[in-house]
Amino acid sequence: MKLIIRDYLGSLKEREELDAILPDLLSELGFIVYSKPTRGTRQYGVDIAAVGNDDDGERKIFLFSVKQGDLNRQDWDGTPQGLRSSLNEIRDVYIPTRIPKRYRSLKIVICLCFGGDVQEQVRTEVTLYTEQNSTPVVSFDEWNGDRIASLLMHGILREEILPKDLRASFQKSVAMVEQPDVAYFYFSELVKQLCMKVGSRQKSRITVARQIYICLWILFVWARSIDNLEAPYRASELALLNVWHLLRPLIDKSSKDAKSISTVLHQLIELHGIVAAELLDKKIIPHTAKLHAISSAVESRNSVDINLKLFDLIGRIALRGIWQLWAADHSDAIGASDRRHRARKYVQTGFELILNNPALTSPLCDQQAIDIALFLLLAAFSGDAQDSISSWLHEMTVRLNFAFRLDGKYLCVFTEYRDLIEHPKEHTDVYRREATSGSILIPLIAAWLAAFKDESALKALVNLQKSKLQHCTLQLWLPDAASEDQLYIGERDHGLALCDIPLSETGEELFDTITEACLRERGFENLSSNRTGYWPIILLACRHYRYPVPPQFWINLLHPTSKD
Amino acid sequence: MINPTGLPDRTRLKHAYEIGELIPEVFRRFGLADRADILATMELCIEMHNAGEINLISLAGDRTLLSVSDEQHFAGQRLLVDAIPKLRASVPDMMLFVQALVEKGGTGYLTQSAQAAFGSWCANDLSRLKEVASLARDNNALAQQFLSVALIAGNMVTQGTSFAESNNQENKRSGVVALGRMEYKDSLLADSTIRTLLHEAKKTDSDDLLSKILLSTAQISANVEQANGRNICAIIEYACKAHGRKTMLSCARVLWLFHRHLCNDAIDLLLQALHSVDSSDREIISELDNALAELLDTKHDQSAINLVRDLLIADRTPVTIFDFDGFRRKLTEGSSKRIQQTFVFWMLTGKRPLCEAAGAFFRRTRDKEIPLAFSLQDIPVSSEEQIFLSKKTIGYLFSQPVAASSILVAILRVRNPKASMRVGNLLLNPLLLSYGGAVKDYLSSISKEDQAYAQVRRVLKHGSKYIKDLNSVGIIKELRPSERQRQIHRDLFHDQMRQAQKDAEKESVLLSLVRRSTILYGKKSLTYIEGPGNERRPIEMHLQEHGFEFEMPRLDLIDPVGLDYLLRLFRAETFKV
Repeated sequence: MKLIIRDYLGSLKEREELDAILPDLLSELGFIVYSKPTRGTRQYGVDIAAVGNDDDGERKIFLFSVKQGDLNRQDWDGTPQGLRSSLNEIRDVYIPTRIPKRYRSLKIVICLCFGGDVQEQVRTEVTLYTEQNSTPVVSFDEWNGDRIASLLMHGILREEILPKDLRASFQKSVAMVEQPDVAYFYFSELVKQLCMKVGSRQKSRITVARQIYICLWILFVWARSIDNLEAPYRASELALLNVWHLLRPLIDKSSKDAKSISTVLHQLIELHGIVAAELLDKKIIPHTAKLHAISSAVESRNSVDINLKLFDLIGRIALRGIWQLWAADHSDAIGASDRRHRARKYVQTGFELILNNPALTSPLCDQQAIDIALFLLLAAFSGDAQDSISSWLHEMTVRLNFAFRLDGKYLCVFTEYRDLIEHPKEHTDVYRREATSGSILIPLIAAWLAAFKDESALKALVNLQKSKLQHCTLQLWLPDAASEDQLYIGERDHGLALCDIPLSETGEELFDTITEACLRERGFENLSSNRTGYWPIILLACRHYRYPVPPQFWINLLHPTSKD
Repeated sequence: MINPTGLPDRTRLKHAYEIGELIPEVFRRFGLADRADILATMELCIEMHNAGEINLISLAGDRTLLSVSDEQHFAGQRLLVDAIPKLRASVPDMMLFVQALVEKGGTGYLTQSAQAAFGSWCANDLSRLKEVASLARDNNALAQQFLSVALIAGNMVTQGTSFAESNNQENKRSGVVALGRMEYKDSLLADSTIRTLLHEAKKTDSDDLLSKILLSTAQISANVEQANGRNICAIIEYACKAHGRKTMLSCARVLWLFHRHLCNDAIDLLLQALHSVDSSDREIISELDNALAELLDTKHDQSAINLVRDLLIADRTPVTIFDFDGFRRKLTEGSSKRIQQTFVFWMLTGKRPLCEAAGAFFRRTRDKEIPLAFSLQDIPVSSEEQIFLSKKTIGYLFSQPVAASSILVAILRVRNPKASMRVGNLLLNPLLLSYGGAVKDYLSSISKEDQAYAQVRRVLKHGSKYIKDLNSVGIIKELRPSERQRQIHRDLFHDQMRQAQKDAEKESVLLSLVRRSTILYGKKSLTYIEGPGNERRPIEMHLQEHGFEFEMPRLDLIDPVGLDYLLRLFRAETFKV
């Protein structure tokens, strides 16, 4: 276990990555962290400042100057950002001017902090520096990868709160990161077990949240080192949803732990964003403008694999954009503008992906309605994409119609992989009725077509339903009162299926039915993530656990008069 | 077996005859292996029959003949048929005997040879011919069956004409049939006979009789080079008025077997008549296919092509070009200019049956695809037609990408500025994008001197950029299907291949004929088989590998629905003049 953590610390690429876990580590060790890393603010060499007991039991101030990886000559004294310069700044400026009054009587420990080791070539200089500059008040300490790993092992990941069986799940998750399904399975086991250990104390909830956060970081860094981020991406969604489930009773409470709760939640949202950016921004998006490039990169001899991956991707891109829009609402004016701009870029990227990977206009599995709805939401929220939305919907309708009429790879309700790759397994009425027994995609598309006034496509869809899909139960899903306790942890025993949705060439009946149902069922409004403004969590749950996106997200966009 | 150690003698044959075993022994070829021994024994039987010691032909009346197995029957009947002309018998007895052989022999070769033997038997003694004719006139049903054979054997033109003019329909038919197979000393006699047939054709509306008149007329015209063409045409016109099934069959047969002896007008009339053929009638279509294939070697080739065209698009029971397989093969193996013209004209009609047929001209199922030497130099097509033709070619020949590409390149060689860019784009997408191997190799082989070079270069450049873009992505592990999914796919693929192999084996004609051995190890097999005299012979067989490879279109993987949609769109598109 320690080896994994040690290796993880050594692999952290950015200084910020080490910054990200240290405050939590210190908090769990009983330190009071009074200064955390922030961008853009000059801190005179100090990345983290905390107060706590030293090994000798005396209460001291700990000032951390953090560097990534091993400490070599360059990092020590090769640049103005070298560690030596930071230490000088701490001694010359920070200590005399920046220590809060209430801690000025305490002794100071300047901690040289890095994920790896001090390389032999600079060992002498470092030792000489710390000896020469030590005083009765100011001392130096070395927090290298090995020490931080030990602290993690004896702190936040200590055996009392992360027992052997859970460590085994975690270790398997890390070891199997090349096989994302397996890694995700063990990580989900870990998360499940950790969440089950939570007692009634608020503090324990926060501790578990931090553990999940640290474990996710470790998984991410390992996955990044082998260039396969699939497991941490899915794990980050799971982690965020479970942590929300854990912390939701405490959100918006005015307890003293509220700040910690908010912090850990935001850290997880940020980590999810980091993982998503590493996957989407660096690996996928640079190739979306190339014809068939992403489809081809699936490297499969089966068209179903390409179809499934592409719709999954469009859902991920949509969520990435949606988080940007959400963050824009929680940023200052400049930050908000930047976030909105980024969201629009994701919309543009998504449509590039659709244009260059035409399988995205041929949904195969009805559940892909979730990813389609997410991207439609993002596109509609960010504006300026009406034409692209309209074209996509139109083309999808044409192809849906075509595939149904020719008994080709038409939309089906199956979700099992084998069923999908065999589809259509038979060309019989019995099979066809089974394969098309229900749909959430058709009403979704119909509603959007109606809103975009694409009469020809809507008419074609209505005719298709009348001629070929009379037996198909057109439906939408709405959260109900039970959803709050089940949505974030992937339970299935909740929600309301709005059935037999009427299709017509104007869409009016469709809108009226949905509006009425939304007014009647208040489960959506009562979801904690909705009430507290963390609404992307609902969409994340929909994507991750494959719940249909509730129509409350889009009905007022499409049919403003239906606002209650 | 009569005599396991030597040839059967008179006594033994007589004994076999008396206990009713002689006919079965004939069919068993007396248990002898040597052909000379068999023939010698049969000669002895004939001698004994003619001497009155046994009666070979009376044996045919019992049920023994019908109980003979098919394998024995073929060899045994041959012996009996060969014996017929040498046997002494009354006309009724012989007719009964031959009838029994005909009943057993069905409608094939054995029946014909039995009837021919009866003809020879009659020809050996003219009184026999007269007796058959006389019996037929007296409405003896059996004699009426053998009347035509007898008339032909005696080359009795006058008698034949008389029967053809008689009121008895059975005798009339026999007379007509016989007239067609007789030798005519001069054209005057032949013309006179044809006039008789014309007269009879005018008098009847019987499909059966008309079909026979038609066939006999053609046979006479084949015998006599200077037959009166006008009367022949008149007969065809009368015969084809009612479009009777048998008449249509005769039309097809006449066209197939006698087209060389018919005048142009007669051929045109036959082709015209065959436009109304019942396309669900496999027998007629099969004969017509033979005829049309033959006509491709004549100056009537275009008429033959037009007839196929009209039948393919006729609003009746659908036929496809594969129902005219002989025609199709002959057409594709013949003049390249003719096949290209037909391809272009049929594709430009935009009519699905014709486009499908045109596509089938260049479809290969086994050989490695080779570019077609296609040229549009002598086929004037407008820019719109060029684009339309390109789409149709892709729609119907997508699975033959090199053939399709070579047709598009031929269109590019016309260098029509209004069409070149669009045709080039179609060459790129979907052809080159789908087939990065074969099509790219073909396009790369086009030389600088080629008229299409510039456009082909442009297409190749875009194709290279496309591939470069695909390769630039590198490996994105996150996009790969999971190991579980790959395993499920492998299992399914394995199951499907296994099922396909089983289905193929079920339908294999070869496997139904031979004993199957499965070789588990080794590169060759050694089997000992037992030959004559219990001698064991080693048979060594070297095993060869058989394989068939084809390039899967990339777009079928990336966007199967889109590709299917595009191809169907291309196929369905109609050309608006």
